[in-house]
Amino acid sequence: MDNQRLNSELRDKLHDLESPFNERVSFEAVMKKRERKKRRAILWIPSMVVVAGLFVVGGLGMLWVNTDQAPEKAAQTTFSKSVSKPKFAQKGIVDKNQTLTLGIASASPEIASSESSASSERKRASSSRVVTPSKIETTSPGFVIPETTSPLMPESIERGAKAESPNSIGVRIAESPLNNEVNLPAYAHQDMLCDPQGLESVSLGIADPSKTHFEIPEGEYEAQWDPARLQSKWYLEMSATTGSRVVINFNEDDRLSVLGNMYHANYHALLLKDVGSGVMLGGGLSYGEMIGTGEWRIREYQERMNIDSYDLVVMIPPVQTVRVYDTTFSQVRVVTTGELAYRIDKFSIPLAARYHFMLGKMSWRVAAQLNPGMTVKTSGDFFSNTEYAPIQSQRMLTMDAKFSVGPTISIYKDWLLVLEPNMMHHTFRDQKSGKTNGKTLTGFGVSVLHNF
Amino acid sequence: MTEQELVEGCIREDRICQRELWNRYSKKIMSLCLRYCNSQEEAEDALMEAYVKIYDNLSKFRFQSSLETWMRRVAVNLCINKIRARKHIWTSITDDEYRLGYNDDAFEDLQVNQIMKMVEALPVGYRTVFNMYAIEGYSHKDIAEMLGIDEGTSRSQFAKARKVLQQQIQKSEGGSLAS
Repeated sequence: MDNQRLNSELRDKLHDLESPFNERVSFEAVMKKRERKKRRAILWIPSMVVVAGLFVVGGLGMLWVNTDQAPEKAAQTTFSKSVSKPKFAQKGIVDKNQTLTLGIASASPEIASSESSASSERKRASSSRVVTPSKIETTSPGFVIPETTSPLMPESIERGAKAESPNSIGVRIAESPLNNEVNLPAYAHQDMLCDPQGLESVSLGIADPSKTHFEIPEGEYEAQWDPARLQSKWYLEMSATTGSRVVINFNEDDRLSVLGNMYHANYHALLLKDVGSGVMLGGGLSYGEMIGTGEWRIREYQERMNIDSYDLVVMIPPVQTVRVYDTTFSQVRVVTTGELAYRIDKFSIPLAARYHFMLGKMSWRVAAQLNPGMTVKTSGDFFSNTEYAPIQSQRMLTMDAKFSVGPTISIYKDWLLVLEPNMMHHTFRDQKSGKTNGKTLTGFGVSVLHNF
Repeated sequence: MTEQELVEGCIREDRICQRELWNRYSKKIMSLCLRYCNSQEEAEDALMEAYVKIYDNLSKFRFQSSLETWMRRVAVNLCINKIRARKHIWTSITDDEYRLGYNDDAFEDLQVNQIMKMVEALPVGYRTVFNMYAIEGYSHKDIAEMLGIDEGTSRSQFAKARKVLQQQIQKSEGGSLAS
């Protein structure tokens, strides 16, 4: 029977053969498996979306910050001037047609004392009052604020007439300069303040729109990025880190060589406490995966014997044929290859130390972390350049160390984004052989820090 | 229900169609998986994985072949991936060994189950190539590409498989069918 006939014979016999299977295999089981697979994919998608989202939010945050910097700078500049130049303030008192700029500047002790009867009440009121755009917009260019105008009059607020009382602002500036820093950004972000028309007409002492350049006192601008300035000392950090490493043995003389890639993904949540001087310490929970794929190659030399034979006709009578055997030996290099793969899933309890510092106008962070933990799931063979060995299946102790440095970007009030190029050393201890295996991988990570 | 209706229903995630697809082909696919895998459990896992893949990728089926052929191909690819992940070492034999003769008529006298058992008992490399070449009808070139081996290795694996089967037949028939 020729090959084709045999094959068609077999095909006919086996092609339509039906085999029964166990009860555990059913349509429902397949559907469950499919659901699980989908769910797993769904779990991966959010983490990717979160990372992508963080980048977008970070980018938008940067844009937003850049857009809003001008009025903020202006506000800080002018207020610092008005506080530090009492002479200018005096001028403001003399001028009866004073604008709001002058009104703000009138925060001199004299004025404050002349209204001492209501000062304590005003202090309370000023701290809770908010200047709304409508109130300011209604102010006409030549508007004169009467000295008798009470900032506490609810009618004036409700009518939206004549803006914030200069005195109340003055009191706030004069008596509580620290409050200005807190109140100003919200004050400065009002739409009205972005309107050059409104700025020019009201003046308000915030900025001269004709000026294109404002001097920012040294350290004032940078200071707002300093996490130490935030109110609470506690931070929640969530981070996703990835890294990879190529394992390759270039030495052709080695019998066994491995060519492979290793990847890791680590996620952690940490609770950090600011202990001062930009240092944070804390701990939390971490989950990590380490995956390796590759190929092993064994190069061996084999001795081969070849026997050639030929018939030699001896023409001398009696004529006869003699078979001659010719044996040759050769050395052949035989290469055998195979595939390698491993996976280690682990949980750990990271101990973290962070140090924040300013470099130029950018805030940076150095992070060091030690992750003692335990494997959850292992499979395959762990490899190095010249050897590989199966990973034991029972739980193993792990110890990872991570080091990273990266810029810190404020993405929203109390939220910071840290971009972290990092280096992570993974180790696990094989209790059977007593051997500790490990590799250092480099990669990139993103952390989000929330001050609460 | 026609094949087209079945496929369209499955794409729509219609449970009735999906169940019908399972009822219609699962036992055949199981038989295929059994021929490639080392054990019943492994074959059952492969069957379920194959069906997950089939349900997920039915939208890619272009009706250029029968649905069963396409499903078999998906299952074969899955089994091959499993074998490849197992780091199997493929060894070659010389052409002389390949040309050794067999008495293939012996197959005619065997029952399907006997052949199946013999095929299952083959070493993984022989079995894979034998299944792909003799039963699924792939060419040695295709097999070489799919398994990542030389065409010569595929031929030699097939030849060895046939040789082992021959020996088993001789054993089972008490040597009566031996050449």
